[in-house]
Amino acid sequence: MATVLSGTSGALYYTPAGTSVTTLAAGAFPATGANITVGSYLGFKVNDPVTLAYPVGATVTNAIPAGAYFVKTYVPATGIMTVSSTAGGSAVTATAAPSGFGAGFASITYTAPAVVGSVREWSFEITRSEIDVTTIGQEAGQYAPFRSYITGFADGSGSATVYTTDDDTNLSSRMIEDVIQATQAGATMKLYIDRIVAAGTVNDTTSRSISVPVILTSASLTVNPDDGQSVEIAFRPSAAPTFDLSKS
Amino acid sequence: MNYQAVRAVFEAPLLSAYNNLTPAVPVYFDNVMNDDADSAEEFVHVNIHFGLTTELALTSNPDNIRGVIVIRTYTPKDRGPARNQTLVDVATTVIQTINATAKPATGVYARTGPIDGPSFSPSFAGTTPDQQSRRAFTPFFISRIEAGFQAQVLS
Repeated sequence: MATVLSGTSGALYYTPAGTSVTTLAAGAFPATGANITVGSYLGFKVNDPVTLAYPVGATVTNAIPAGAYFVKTYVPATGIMTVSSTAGGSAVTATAAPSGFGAGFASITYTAPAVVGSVREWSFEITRSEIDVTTIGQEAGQYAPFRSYITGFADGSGSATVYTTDDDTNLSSRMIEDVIQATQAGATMKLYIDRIVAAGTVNDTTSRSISVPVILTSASLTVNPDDGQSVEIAFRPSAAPTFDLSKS
Repeated sequence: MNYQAVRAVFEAPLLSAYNNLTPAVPVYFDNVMNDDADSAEEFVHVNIHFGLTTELALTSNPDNIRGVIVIRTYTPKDRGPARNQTLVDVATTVIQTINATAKPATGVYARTGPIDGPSFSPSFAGTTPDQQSRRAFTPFFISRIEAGFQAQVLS
């Protein structure tokens, strides 16, 4: 017999805003040293997990290798980032610049959505606009003629309510700041309706989720002496969601 | 979660406040026997109950400790409310002092909601249930205040 999923099967994962740079030319990488010029006023924070990827055909001998890193430093004003192999580790350095990008670009992106703790609830709605294409001149019969419609653009909206806790590493704090982050590229919600964890790791094959790039449109903080503090964050899709509603 | 530390936030200053009176007034807390009840003319009972202590969230249950503190003050019957009100005011002052204490970096931060009371029993205003209860026949005039509280155990 089927079992109705309770809300506690769900989860909210989030990729912070401004953590996706996909147009890095070879000149962004150091010939010597550790400084990568990723761009100004992005949303990277120290110890963010990021993935560096080079375009196919690039020569990266003695350059900072492609792979998974942690942000060691990022200075928003200059747009210079250094990365480390471990959180808090020493900066990875290069003795040669990469080359051979051709028409491609390197990218540094937040590695994977991370769980937002203490989420009370999330909601997500997708809609389609409707276009009236009714024509006149229809002959009346037994029943009145119906209007005709075709579907138009898709749209959507969502929100999440998150408890404010004494843990300042919580991604919910990041979401609040990201509302006013100038560049929100990379902000992505992964909305689990059924999160299955195996050996401490989310099994995305058996889990069911909706992954959607978003823009964050508002954060509403509620602080009163009667209730736990919470923040309601509103978002809209910035591209089509990806549905993974299959258990296999 | 640390129930004992939360309890101590309320019980310790109440005990000190009543011990500092002249003469000191006995205070009995939860699961402490009131051995002197037959001989003491006045004493105080303090009960602390925990209610909801966590919040239900999707992937975690963060602590959010809530409860209620009930303080009953016992004084001799038929001597007017003045002495009783004097004693219950001690408890009210303690609670308000707790509420005026700023949040520390570590330890327990507790605040109460509005203080309800004092209400008095037994009531002699007509045919109230109190007059028919066993309490009506005790030798004590009893006041009761209560307040909901919220507490945060800080690490």
